[in-house]
Amino acid sequence: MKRILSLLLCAVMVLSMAACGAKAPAAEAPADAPMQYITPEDAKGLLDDSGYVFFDIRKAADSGAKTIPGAQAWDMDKAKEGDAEAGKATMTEATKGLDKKIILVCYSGKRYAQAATNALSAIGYDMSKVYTLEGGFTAWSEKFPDLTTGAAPAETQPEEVELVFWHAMSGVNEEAMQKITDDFMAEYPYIKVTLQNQGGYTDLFDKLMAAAKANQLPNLAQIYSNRLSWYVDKGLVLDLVPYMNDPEIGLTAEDKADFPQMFMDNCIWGDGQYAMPFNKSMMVLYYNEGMLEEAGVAVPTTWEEWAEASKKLTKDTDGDGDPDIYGTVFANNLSTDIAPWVKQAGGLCMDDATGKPFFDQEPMRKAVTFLNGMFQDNAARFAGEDKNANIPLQQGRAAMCVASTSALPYIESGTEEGIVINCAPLPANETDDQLYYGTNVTVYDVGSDAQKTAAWLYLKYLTATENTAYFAAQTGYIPVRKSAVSDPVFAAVLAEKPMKQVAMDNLDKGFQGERCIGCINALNALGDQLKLVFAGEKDLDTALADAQVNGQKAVDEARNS
Amino acid sequence: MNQTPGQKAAKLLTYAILIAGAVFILLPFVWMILTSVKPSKEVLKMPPVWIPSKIQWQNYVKAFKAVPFFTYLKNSILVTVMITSCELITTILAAYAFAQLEFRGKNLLFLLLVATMMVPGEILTIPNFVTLARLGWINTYKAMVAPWATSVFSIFLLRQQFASIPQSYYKAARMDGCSDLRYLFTVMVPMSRPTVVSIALLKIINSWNSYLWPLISTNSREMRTLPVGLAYFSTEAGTDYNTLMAFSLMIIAPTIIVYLLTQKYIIQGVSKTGLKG
Repeated sequence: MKRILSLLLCAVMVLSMAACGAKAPAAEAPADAPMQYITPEDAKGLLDDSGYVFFDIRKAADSGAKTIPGAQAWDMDKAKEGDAEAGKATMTEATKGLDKKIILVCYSGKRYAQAATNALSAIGYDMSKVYTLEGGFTAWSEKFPDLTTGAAPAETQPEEVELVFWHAMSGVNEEAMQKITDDFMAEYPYIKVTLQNQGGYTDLFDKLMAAAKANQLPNLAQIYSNRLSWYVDKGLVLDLVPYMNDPEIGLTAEDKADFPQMFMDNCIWGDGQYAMPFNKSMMVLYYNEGMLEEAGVAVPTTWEEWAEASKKLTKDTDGDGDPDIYGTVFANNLSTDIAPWVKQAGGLCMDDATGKPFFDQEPMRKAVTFLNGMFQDNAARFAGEDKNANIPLQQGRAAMCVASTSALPYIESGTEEGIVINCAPLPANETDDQLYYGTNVTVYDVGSDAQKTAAWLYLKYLTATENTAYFAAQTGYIPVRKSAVSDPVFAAVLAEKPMKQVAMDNLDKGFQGERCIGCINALNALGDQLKLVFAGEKDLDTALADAQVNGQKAVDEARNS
Repeated sequence: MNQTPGQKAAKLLTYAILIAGAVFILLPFVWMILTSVKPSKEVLKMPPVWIPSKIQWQNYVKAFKAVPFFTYLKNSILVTVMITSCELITTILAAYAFAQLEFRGKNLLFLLLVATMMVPGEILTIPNFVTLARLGWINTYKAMVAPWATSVFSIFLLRQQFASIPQSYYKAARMDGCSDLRYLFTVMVPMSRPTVVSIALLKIINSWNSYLWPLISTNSREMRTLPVGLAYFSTEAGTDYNTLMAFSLMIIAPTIIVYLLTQKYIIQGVSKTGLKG
């Protein structure tokens, strides 16, 4: 009794170790299930026996060309390549409601049959009823050349491929994506693209990281370039250049030039192109038209005008010292989003090539001093409890806010009656650079060549003018092609929603933020210091000096891990 | 019954405090229910709008249609039942062994188990994913259940409870020819019912509400659970609070029903262990 209980206890220990992930022993690949063979002669005698069924598990193209009469074709190529899940799925489908003895037919009765046997065993099929044809179809066709059906088709069908695309889009965004994907599959019937939502961006990036460590990366994924840099560095991403330059399936020079250069640059590392731009938006200054008009304030176009306007528009109606209407509201996290003001002050946050932060240099100082001025004047605040900076604007508790054009659908549906919201590019300083952000879609270096080609075809389709125009028309994002403005679907949207035009008009002034390995952590370290500065708890020089040290440390750590 | 004015006043005060407490706790629920039928313009209005200007039942239709509700519901129920039953079995057996049996290395083993409680759960996400991926379990119920099939904390809790049952019961049972397992399930478990029920309820609530692991361990919609469906209503640019609340209400309804059916035990469990869900 005690022994049994101790054994159970051990089982619990093992389980709890797994639960805690405390160095559970690495799982071995499951052992092969034993196979039982049947000779071609015996199998021939069973051709008309209703108790038996023949499964031709060779590649679909081969079983489609020539097979044993009456055999069912179940392509087990993926399972043979090691994708046990696909094998199980195929065999589950094949054995649905089946209670017969199965004879597996492959090329030579070895690897495909083993994969199918493993799959059948894994899904719990009665293994005493599973046989493998000895020598496979090769032996069969030598012995009984008359007993084969089907002739080689004049033109070989392209191999069926399946792609998995991990994304973080939901709601209308996901619906638009699904529609484009369905259209793609209708055009390429041999390619199946499965869209898999993986939660929000953070969930998606966490899962991608886990999948990378477990060698389970999907074919395609939506990803920010500041995350993708790690995967590129580790050699996990497919270089798209050979596909893009392919005379048959590639892009024309005209096509390539149709993508705004900053979007393409965001996907290029060295000589390689590791992604295609997908959902993009621009950081803009939204404003309440009525409030500006009433205060006699023009839409600010320079830093000085902005600071002035912000001050004028701030109102403390109940006189409690806390403004009830703020001039400007910012998003809660200014760490990765500080880039446009630094750039407008003539500098950069970091050196993207070396990962060196420039947090204690003059442009950063200028940018922070400018923003801090608004905070210290009590003319600006963070979104705080409102979460998104556009919320107080929509409710008349702010006159202006800095937010992404991707908030447009929410602004359209949730703005209080009587409030008219418009937007403008960020006010300029030494330069008028404008920040664009959004993810790209990358192809991981996994799967067969056919899958990689199919993934490229899908990317090409996703970013084709009419499709990117459709996506932009349905969502808050902008198209990734310049020619989309003349696409009838998107042109109609532009005419109706002039705010989207702002993002299209400023493409040539656009840039995208830092993306070097460790930059997220370094900019977060900067953000922590900036919070203290804006709250008036730390002086600027010390904060920037500390940010520089912490930022450099964060980059070093990220590079060494 | 005659009460002195002092007793009456004390009673009144008790009720006043209880009512204040109830209002405090219920307000978010009331807001949730009201928001679930509000038009989106009224959701975040300041000062807050309590009573919607018009009742918008459409939010529920929208929430219901946004995700395959019944598939998610089925998965949620299946996974919760599997996790809870696995945990109960492992916990009861292990707690019994640690409380009642003598074997070599018992204390060391127990110490090791308890030490694993120090590892924060977030750190384990990636190692767990890698382990289960190598087993080929990703996107199966097995992957959703296995990491939670036992809980060191519950073992610890139940062991303390078992240890408090006097040895004389055991001896008496043995004298009457009762086996260990029978003693465990006919004497010890019934005597510890409030603790066992608490453990089960905590697990039910935790697994019902769990978001990250079901999301990470599955890929297809066919395998996902209700909390994963919540993500559908928010994006980085904003959140549809009204439909989100409508969906949330549909999710929490079953837990409320479970609570109503078993509140007697929860209260016993809480008063015995000082723990709640």
